[in-house]
Amino acid sequence: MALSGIQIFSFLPKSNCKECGAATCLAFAMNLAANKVQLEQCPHLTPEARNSLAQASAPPIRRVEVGTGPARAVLGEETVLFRHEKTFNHPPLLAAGLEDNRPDWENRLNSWREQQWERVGLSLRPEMVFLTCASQEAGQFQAVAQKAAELDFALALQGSAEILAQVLPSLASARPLLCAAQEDNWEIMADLALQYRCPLLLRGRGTEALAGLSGKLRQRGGQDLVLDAQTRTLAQTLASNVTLRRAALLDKNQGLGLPIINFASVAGGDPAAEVMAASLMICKYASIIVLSDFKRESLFPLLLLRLNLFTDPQRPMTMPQGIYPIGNPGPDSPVFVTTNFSLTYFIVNGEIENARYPAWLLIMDTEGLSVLTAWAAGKFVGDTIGAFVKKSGIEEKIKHRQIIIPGYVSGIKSELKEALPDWRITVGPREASRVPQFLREWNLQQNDAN
Amino acid sequence: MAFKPLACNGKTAVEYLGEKSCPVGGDNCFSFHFFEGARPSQPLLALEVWDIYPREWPDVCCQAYGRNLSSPLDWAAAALAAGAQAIALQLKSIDPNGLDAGPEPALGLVGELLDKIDVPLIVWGCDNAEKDALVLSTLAARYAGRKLILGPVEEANHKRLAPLAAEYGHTICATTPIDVNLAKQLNILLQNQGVPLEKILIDPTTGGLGYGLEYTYSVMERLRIAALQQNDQVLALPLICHLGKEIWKSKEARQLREEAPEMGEDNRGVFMEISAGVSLLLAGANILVLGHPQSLRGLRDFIDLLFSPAQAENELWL
Amino acid sequence: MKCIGENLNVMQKSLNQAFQERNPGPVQEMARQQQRAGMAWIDVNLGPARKNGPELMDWLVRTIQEAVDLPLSLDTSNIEAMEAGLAAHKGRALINSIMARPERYNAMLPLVTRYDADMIALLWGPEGLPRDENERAAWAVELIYAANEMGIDNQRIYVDPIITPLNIQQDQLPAVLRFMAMLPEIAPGTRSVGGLSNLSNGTPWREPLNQTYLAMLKRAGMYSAILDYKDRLLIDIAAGKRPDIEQVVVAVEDGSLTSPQEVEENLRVFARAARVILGHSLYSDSWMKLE
Repeated sequence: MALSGIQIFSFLPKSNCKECGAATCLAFAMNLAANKVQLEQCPHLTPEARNSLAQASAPPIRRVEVGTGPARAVLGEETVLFRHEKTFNHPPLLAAGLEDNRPDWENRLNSWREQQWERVGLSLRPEMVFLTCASQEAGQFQAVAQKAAELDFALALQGSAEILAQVLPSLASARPLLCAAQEDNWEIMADLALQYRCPLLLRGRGTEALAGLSGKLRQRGGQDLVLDAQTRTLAQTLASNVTLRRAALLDKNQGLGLPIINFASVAGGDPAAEVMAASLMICKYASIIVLSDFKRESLFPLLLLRLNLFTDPQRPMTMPQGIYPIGNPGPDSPVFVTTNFSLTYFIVNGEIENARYPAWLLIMDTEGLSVLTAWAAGKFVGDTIGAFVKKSGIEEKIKHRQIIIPGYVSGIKSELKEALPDWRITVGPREASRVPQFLREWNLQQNDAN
Repeated sequence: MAFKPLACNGKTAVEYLGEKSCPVGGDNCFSFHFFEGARPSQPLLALEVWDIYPREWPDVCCQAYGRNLSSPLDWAAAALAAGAQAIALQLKSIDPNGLDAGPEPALGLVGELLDKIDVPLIVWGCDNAEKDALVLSTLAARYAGRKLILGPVEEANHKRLAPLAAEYGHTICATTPIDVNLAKQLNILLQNQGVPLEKILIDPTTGGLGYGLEYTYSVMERLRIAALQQNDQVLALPLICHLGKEIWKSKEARQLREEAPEMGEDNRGVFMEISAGVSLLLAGANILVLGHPQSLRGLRDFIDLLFSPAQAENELWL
Repeated sequence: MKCIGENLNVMQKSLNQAFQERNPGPVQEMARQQQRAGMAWIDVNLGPARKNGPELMDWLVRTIQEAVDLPLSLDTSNIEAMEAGLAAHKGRALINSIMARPERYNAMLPLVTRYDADMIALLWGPEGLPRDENERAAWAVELIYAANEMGIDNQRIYVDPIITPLNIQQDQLPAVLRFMAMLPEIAPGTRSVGGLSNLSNGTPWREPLNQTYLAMLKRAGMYSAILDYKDRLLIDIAAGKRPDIEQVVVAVEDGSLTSPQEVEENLRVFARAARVILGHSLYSDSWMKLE
């Protein structure tokens, strides 16, 4: 059950000690209710208050951390069924399966590490290795795991309790996901996880089995769990993931309110089948998705889909400020300027492409605001645009001095003229869909002028 | 554990497309949620066919057909052989920014296609409201009763197109710019022009993978929630997504291994189309228009996997 | 509910011309009309006011207060223009507004004490617009604390939870109502205010949407609203003179009215508006007259 800030406040010491970083206990309570801070940041809670608060303010899907340092990742804490209701919080980790007795394991790990792309200022890469001890040798298992950790991969370690007990003294600091507790070994696995403070994978066939196991583990003190429902078909995976998410959010079932792991091989082994399985899992509620391999051509689409769906709908993506050439523009091509709200960019860019008329598009940083909002906030006005145009470097790319501004801000024309006295300011269309027609007319005028 | 289905009091309309009355829609649950509802018809997968030689199309797509694509009729036949359940003819020739052809060539081609294929024929304009109105309305009148699927029909040109399409029994793709309120508005305007709801497909406008796909995804989920949970009749209609053209215009899909080794093998574009296609199907798409025939096969497999029965076994996970 | 007239605005073409020409006639005429319509403040909106902001604001404040005996709500993102307006103002001005962003409130809170003004605490935070009632509460507490530290009492603070357009962010409208229920507890004694017209921006149903949401805000305890003084019905609802409309809105909010057909024809538009504002049905321009 989510508590309101005021309810949380009633548990706090009300000393306003500021040690949590917030100015007052009330501010800390509000931030906790808004999911911006963790309960642990308050150092002066009484144990009773801490327990009651932890119980009452727990997110419906438990926060579970795996990995440390650059490989640290947070799972869980999801609060909605559909992303438009608020946002999906933590993108699922993409993992590749690896058996420690593969002769080429080192090459694999190195090649996986190289698979990385830059996009809209973000680095896209897969982040986990799901390592199985097939060698039955702790030494080998540990060597491969060590290497994967050195390459900044979070680890899932799958092996018998004996093997895990041998490697954990040196690997526990990497906070690996231990795999797996099931009906026949849950006690010893739970004790290992507790001893080494590692998250634990829980394996049970079906929802009932998982709920039962999860209850037993929680009683023994195990909290940081990840669920594997052992589905055998893609249809079962969808049914299972939807059921678990609803049980957590709608029924507040804490035993099932845990992150989910899925295996993409459930749809069959070929690369296309894995792409579709993993795509479904990204859309519908997996927190870890295990692929059989990372291959650039299939990994890249999955990273893009994940990037798209885990964007906060209320914090739209922004484009980096700069000059965007469209269709090979030259020194005589027209210059447009607009804001860095990514949808504004995509639509204007699309319409210019659509017109098949090469142009320069200047994208100005307005904190992701659209044209009218940015204008009202004083961010997309004559002097700011003028300063941006001058320092953008566009003057070195073109021979003319003519700039096209969005029709919605026609009012800034004279201010902009003052900021850019050598330039001719042209008011473009209000709606991007009129850009092709505008460009046709612009072209005619240019020809007339020549 | 007692599984509680999500309460749905609505159901999307079943529509019958083409001369063979191919059914789409009729869902009373979210996409593929067979554990709590029914989806009597499978999503329909269509392939693009251009009316001109596809000079701008990526080689990866052209080569997939293993033949010269200068004849739209041959191309359509190859698309059917590849498993297409509908043909989506792209009227590239009429684009005022391109060849700017009149309606005549399109008239001839559509007639030939109608005679040759027996799957639904989607005829897609050039995204220029005025020109599309001219050409599509000519087609609507000339092929009265042949049950074409015409698009895009936008607010800007619906008054010219809608009454004709309704009179001659065609289906309309109602296109709005990724906005739930405008989607609802256009359907009402089309009704006001005499178009029955069961002759309207909703085209929410598709964002490419990495290029705004998430906006389309959420708009589609909101449209399905309105239809299924708020019983909003005006929105309880099948959804169509023009995915192929968005995927294949992106640089990331087109780059070849030899120019960009960091992007991997050249089937990356197919995987992009499959990945985005899966997300749109999950968001509720009833018709996907695709570019590459291999993407169609992959997504066909995906649909088959999710439509496969074995319900008894599934109950374990509910 | 107290009303603040929004219409003295640089966005209004005719007025903007008067502003630029320093022509007092149209400005004073509108100020008098607002006073007659019962406005408790007149909002003077210069927008970003990049050019000659301070001088223009000074002139406007003097010109308006020559004509009417009302306090003004000074609305500009240009801090120098704000200060010029405060210096010229007679009586207690309302600063519209101070954002919940440290760099903005650290610069602007001193103006409140220096000029003995009231202030609007705009819940626009470091990350932009608030995403739910909890984020509003967190930012409100931060900003109000900073104001209190400067010696500004809660009674001087008008919290603005930010009303967003229905056709862009419908789900924030119920969130504002939920936040209003929290406000007396988290910041006792503060007042509240909302810029109402933003709700209906871009729709052809501005008046019924504004009127309906005003009835909801009034019920939720909002103290004042910035609104269109020319909308007589809106002013009547604010003054509690239209219990019939309020009743319909309450019935939709409480779930006892689900079909607009159940009420008299002249009240149906309010039932429809309430349904779309609360998210019971998706908005569309034409849908407002259907169902």
